[in-house]
Amino acid sequence: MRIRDRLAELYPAPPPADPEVRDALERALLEKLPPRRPSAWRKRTLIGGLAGLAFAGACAIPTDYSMDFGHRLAFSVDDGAFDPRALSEHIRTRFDGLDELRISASKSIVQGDDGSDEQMQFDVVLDVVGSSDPDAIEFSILEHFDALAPTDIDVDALDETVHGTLGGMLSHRTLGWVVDGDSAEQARARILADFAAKGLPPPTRVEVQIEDREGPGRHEREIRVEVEAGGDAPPG
Amino acid sequence: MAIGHLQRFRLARWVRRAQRGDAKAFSALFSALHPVVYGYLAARVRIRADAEDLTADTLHRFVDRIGRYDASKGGVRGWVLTIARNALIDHVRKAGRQDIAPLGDVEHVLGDQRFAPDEGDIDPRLQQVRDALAEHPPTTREMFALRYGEGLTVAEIAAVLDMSESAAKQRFSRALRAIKQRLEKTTHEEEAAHAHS
Repeated sequence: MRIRDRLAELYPAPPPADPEVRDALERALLEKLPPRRPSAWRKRTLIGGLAGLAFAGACAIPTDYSMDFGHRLAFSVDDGAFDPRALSEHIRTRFDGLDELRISASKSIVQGDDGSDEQMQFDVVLDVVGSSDPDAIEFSILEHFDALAPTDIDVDALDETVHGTLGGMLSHRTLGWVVDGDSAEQARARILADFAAKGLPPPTRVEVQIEDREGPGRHEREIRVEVEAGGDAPPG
Repeated sequence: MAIGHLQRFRLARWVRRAQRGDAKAFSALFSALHPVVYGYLAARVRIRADAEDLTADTLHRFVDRIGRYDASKGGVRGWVLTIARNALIDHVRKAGRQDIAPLGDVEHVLGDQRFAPDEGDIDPRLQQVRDALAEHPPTTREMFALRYGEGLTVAEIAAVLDMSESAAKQRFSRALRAIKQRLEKTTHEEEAAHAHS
């Protein structure tokens, strides 16, 4: 047996913590967190990023809901030779499953701290739409730029409150469920559960259809959701 | 990309988001840090309720100071265990029934209660490792407990013990080499004794 294995045996793990005590502590600590303030980079919504969804016949109950799209990563680099296309390629080659990757970069001339040297600076905003691991993407950006430190990159969830209708909420949610791998039947069951959770009468009809179409070099998926509200809910 | 590196990086990002009041990020951070802090303390105090109280104390202090965290000065695990270690020292000294317990008591606890020499039956092979380790100063024993008990990296251990990373590396590798030689010597002596008998 190696010396390191023998040393590790000297320190057996203690029994795990009591989950109730642990959960109570987490709740107490959450109350002490500073009030939420948005990142300076979160300036615009990305509601227009959704595509491929058809929705009909939903009820029109006004509903506010939060939507997750992916993540926004923002940072500044002072590399005059910065090439957004090279960064995009760098990320795309490392990550499958990105629905969309958008890079916007604005260029400016800034003075050095001592007021003498002028240098080029790029403010870069990277929107990653779809299921992705933001930590791994952030890490990949750091690989691409030697000069960047983790503290230089700001990461935010792309989630926004939508002031819409129950139908809109269901359509967006259904899109997310299907993107995450739900079958039509699983999505349908979730819609019914959503109605029940909101205390609404069950809808008289829920249909979810997922249609995949292959074309040259592209794959399209259409998701159609039809819901007819039941009971006293206003018809869609 | 090593997983450990990504995990350390992820902890720092959760801290940055928690600094802005992001509850989701804080919950992720809590889930990652609670077992580390509780494990560290439960291994060094005998009463479970004490370990729970000290864990709560440590993590409250952590949240109180979260706005001051600077990732360029070290990792999150090293930082939170430094807080836990200070809380433990306070606890041991208060429990000493005197104003301040002798330093030796504190060092013994920091070096890990699991390493207490008066414990019951123990595998002779492990006893040899214990004996070899016992020949080293308390700080070295604490380093080994942090490395093999808590799984800290040498850089994290250096942060907890407030020493430079190069000094920690040197001390650690020197002690490891000495323990290895000591164990080899013991084995040779045993084999020789066995051959004579």
